[in-house]
Amino acid sequence: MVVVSYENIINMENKLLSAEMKMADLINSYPRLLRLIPRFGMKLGFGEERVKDVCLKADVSPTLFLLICNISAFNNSLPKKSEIKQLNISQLINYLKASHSEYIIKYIPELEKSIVSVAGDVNCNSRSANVISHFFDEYKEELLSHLSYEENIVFPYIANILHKKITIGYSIEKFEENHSNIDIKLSDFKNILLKYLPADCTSQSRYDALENLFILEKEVEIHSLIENKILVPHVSFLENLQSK
Amino acid sequence: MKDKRKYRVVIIEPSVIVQKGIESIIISSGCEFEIVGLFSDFSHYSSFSYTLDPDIFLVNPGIIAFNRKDSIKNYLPESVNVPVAALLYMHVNGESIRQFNGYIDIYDNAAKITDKLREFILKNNSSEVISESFDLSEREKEILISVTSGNTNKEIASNFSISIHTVMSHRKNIIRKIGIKSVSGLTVYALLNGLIEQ
Repeated sequence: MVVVSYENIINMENKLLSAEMKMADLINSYPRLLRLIPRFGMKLGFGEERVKDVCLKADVSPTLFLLICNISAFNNSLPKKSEIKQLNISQLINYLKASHSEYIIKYIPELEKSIVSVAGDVNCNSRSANVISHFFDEYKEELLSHLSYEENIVFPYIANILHKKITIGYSIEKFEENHSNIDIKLSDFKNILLKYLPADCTSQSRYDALENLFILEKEVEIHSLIENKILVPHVSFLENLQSK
Repeated sequence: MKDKRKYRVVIIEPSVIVQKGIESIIISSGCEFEIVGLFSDFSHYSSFSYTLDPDIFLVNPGIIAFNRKDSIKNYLPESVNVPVAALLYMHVNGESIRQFNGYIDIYDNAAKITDKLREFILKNNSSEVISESFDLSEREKEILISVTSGNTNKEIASNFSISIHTVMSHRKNIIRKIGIKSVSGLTVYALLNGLIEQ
């Protein structure tokens, strides 16, 4: 477990990624960052442009972009307090919203397709098929309701704060309580598919579903990290400013 | 249990200065530990591996961290179930750190270093005792069934006439063995394994 005394050393890693790098080099070195490009509204075909040029074109703060890159590439590299204060919060929220719609449009339907196909496989007995479909439906519902909670409650709340309006009876502290269930179920689902669905229910779709879950798990992990370690601290900082 | 003998420490660290420093700290801390090997990397260690019988490895993660796909376990013979602690004084990415049973920071003082070493060794020994079997015991199955029918820890405790603490420790063991935490996940497990009917 890495704790506070290590913070400085972890931050050294920030220096690996710089706004002066070529964007193409950045993606080549950390392919996981490819997914960030569309979420920030950037387009491929960078040529030799530097990270900061691409950011400027897309009207994205290079600091925010690098911050998200750092967290996504090296889970542990969390920003310093001073960086959190200066954050461009509306751009961050745009990024989070774009990730949400990617989950809704891409990951969840792909996963659903594989699960439907696993359950529909003739070799899979009907009890196992029912159990797995039911678990997926429940998970999907929970994930979607979590996303819509963020879209409909959390983000508007933050927008209100930015416009110096006060929302009664809500504070960002309540947000974190809501998160962990999604991660736990995802991991359970992965283990059920990997370990406990009977061997007869094995088709290509089961592998597809697992691969999809591994990607989604990583995605959700980083997404939660961004929300818990950047979004929430920034908003509590704003809340404090407001209450003064 | 290995009583009344010193804990045997193997240090794998490329820097001679650091090797000697950590060795002298551990030795001067009293009679609890002895250094049975000092190596600059795992390949030097492996030629002695059968004679040393260490209780703990203290390893500079730098020697494996260069390749993210590399795992510390690849360097140890499979039969070795000994805790591996990281010795940290330069940056290591978080994924690599998590492979270790814990870490010792170069800024830790002597007392903290020995406390940590002891803790890693003892923790590992106790988990060794519990994890003899990966399959759920009959009692764990009963508790699992009870959890899936929606009983609280308190209800389970009173149904089985055991303490809540015992219920919690059963539940922890169930989670550790099957890797499933949520009640609905556990229900799926119980259904697929025929422990309960739909």
